[in-house]
Amino acid sequence: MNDHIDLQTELPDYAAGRPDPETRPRVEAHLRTCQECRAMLSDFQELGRVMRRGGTPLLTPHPPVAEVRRLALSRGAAADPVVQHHLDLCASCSLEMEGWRRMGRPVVAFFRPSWWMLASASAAALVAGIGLGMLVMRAPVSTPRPSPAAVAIGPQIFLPPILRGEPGRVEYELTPGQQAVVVAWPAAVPEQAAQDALFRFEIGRPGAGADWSYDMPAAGIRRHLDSAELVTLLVPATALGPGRHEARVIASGAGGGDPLYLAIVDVRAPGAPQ
Amino acid sequence: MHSIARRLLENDPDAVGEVMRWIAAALTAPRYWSLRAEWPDLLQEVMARVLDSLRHERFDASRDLRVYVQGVARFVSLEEVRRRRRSWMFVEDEEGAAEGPDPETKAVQMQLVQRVLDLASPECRELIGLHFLESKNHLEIASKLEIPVGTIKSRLFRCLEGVRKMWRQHRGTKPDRSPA
Repeated sequence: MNDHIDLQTELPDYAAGRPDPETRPRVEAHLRTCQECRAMLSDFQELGRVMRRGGTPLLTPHPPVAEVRRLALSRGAAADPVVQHHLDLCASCSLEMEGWRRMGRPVVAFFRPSWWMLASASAAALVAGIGLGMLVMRAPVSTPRPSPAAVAIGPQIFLPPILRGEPGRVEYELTPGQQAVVVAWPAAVPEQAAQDALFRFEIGRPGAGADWSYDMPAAGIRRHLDSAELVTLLVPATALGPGRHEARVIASGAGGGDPLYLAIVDVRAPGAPQ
Repeated sequence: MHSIARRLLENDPDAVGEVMRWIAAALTAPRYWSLRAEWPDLLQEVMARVLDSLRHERFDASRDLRVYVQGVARFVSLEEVRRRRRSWMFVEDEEGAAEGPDPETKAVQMQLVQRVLDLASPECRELIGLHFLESKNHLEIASKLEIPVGTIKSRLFRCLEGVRKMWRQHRGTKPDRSPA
């Protein structure tokens, strides 16, 4: 047993391929009979392989929270190369960066439909004749960023499908204090569209420019449609003031071409008569 | 109320960042690697649930907020796993990995090793770095740190043994059988 314990301390050098020549024969003889040491050696070797692949970023500490935030929110800011290497490798830091970026967009999207929303959404979708598996959230927009703790989201808007080439129409009543609206779009992208082709989801007054818009690549739209048959976006309530609006999807860079999708949204102020 | 919880509700960036870090650490656990495309959405959902709990005072302030937040993150991840009805991806064993792991397995292994190295002491991290990244053997490390070689041997072994134990726990490998 003493030999077993003594020889175990030689395993790190052996695992790194640099065994002590004097003890090597004893280590090898012991390994032939000791299953525990063989398993340990195998783990050390595997650890060494992974570490050599990852390099020093595996050992560098995570950047401070404030630094991750700064890098995520300041577009194009250069990170220290060591920090950048760490961020490239570290899944949790990358996720933090993405979290900050989403927060950094004008309206915070600290929201994802929960089971009760899915249930109500599914029911409404059935009424509307729309198959709905799940909703997927994205954070667009163009108004000042409210606190994540304070975003008030009212009922969702399910935009109707286009029937016989005519835009559908939906009515919506804002709730008091509402800051954002979840809008579900039955959008589709042309089959021939490249994965990186951008499409713009926008809301604006009829015949006028967009009060809100969000660009999404075809790949993202397809991913959402595959799982949900809808693209669900968070729109600031300020872009959906009382009155008539158009919800449009256009190919970005199309130079004002016809919308691929169009729906009319009539919005009422809270408590306004129908 | 817990100070971070209060600051989170006040949208204090440091508190938001701290809680986001806790959530990110829980969501990126190797067992949830199959959800990685959903991580940003899940992070948002967890944050929303935590905020909702805090607003409605469902969080018991005597509890550790970090444990609570990460518990919510794990719960949300498990819900997502169940919803997708996909099996989790585990790194099953070192033999399979050594035969030539695919890129996904390699990435999971990397996250796993980083995770256990995060938990190691600074001294252990230094020794392990010298050994595996600078390819120094016991003698060379002893010479560099001006510490007796016997001490380096036992310290490095203890460090690697500790890392290995955590590594096996994280990847779900069964404990060793009894010593030979």
